[in-house]
Amino acid sequence: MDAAIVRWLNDGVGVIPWLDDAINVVVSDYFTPVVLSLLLLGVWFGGKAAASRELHQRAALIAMLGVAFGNLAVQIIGAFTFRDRPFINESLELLFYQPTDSSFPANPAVVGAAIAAGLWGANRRLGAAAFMLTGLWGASRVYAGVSYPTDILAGAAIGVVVVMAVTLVVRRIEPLPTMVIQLAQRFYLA
Amino acid sequence: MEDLGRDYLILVFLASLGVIQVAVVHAGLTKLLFLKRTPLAYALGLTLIVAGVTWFFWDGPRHIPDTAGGLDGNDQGWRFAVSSLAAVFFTVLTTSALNHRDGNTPSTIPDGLESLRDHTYIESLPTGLRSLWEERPPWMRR
Repeated sequence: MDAAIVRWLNDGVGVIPWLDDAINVVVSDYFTPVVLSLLLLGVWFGGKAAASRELHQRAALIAMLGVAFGNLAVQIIGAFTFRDRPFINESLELLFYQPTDSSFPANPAVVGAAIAAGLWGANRRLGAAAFMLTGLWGASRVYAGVSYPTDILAGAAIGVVVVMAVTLVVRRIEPLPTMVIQLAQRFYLA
Repeated sequence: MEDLGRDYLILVFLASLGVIQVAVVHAGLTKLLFLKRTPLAYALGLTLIVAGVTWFFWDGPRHIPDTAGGLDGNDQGWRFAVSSLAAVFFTVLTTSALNHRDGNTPSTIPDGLESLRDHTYIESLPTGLRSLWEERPPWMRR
């Protein structure tokens, strides 16, 4: 089933050249992570009132911690499991270079979902936009032949679960997060 | 690697400048605007974001594995932090010069970004530093 979806999507490569060009940018290592990180920078400054701004800043901190611990989780899982990339086992038209690390879980999905889940906690619209972009990023990696759908789903699940755990921990270690934001406020950067 | 790393820094710097402009227009933090008229400031922000992304991807999607000169996650992380912080400091310092008013600075300046609705960063900073100094912990007072 997993491989069949990859083959079905990858069959579309070369059919619509402009779509391939667009997916080539979305699937890149640089486009989506930069856009998602810029969303965090934007919410840091973007609240209309002091209270909503502080809520957004707390969400940005949680998302950043979620990305860090999500990456750690991928490293730990990678130490115990290894899954070949789809292009190893299937005859595919690659739109990407050949990564050598494990296909499972998809690290980009972990990063994207962690940022989206962090934003969701403070701003549903931005969170939904970030989830959509993460979904597009994941789908483009399947289309490009470098990830299986289950790699993406597992990565996204890890990202969301890690952010939920980080949110609980951040509540437990109050007033430390508030002190961090207050210190930044004294320097007029929060 | 060096070219890609440098290009990544420039992409993030330009796009961060743009995102900050769009965000501060939305938040009403007028003393952080490069241009006083908000539609123009908004347009400038969007232009900077599009310019940064277009410039970075002009020659293609840059599919380079990190084993062959690409930037891995950690490399991207610190470069993003450095470049976006540079954009923040460029914004607060430049807008302080552009939006500076002659005359006395009012004695009451609220904490945090909220103060940048009516005061520039450089006008506000001494108040924050004074508060930090006055509230320093006892072990620092000896």
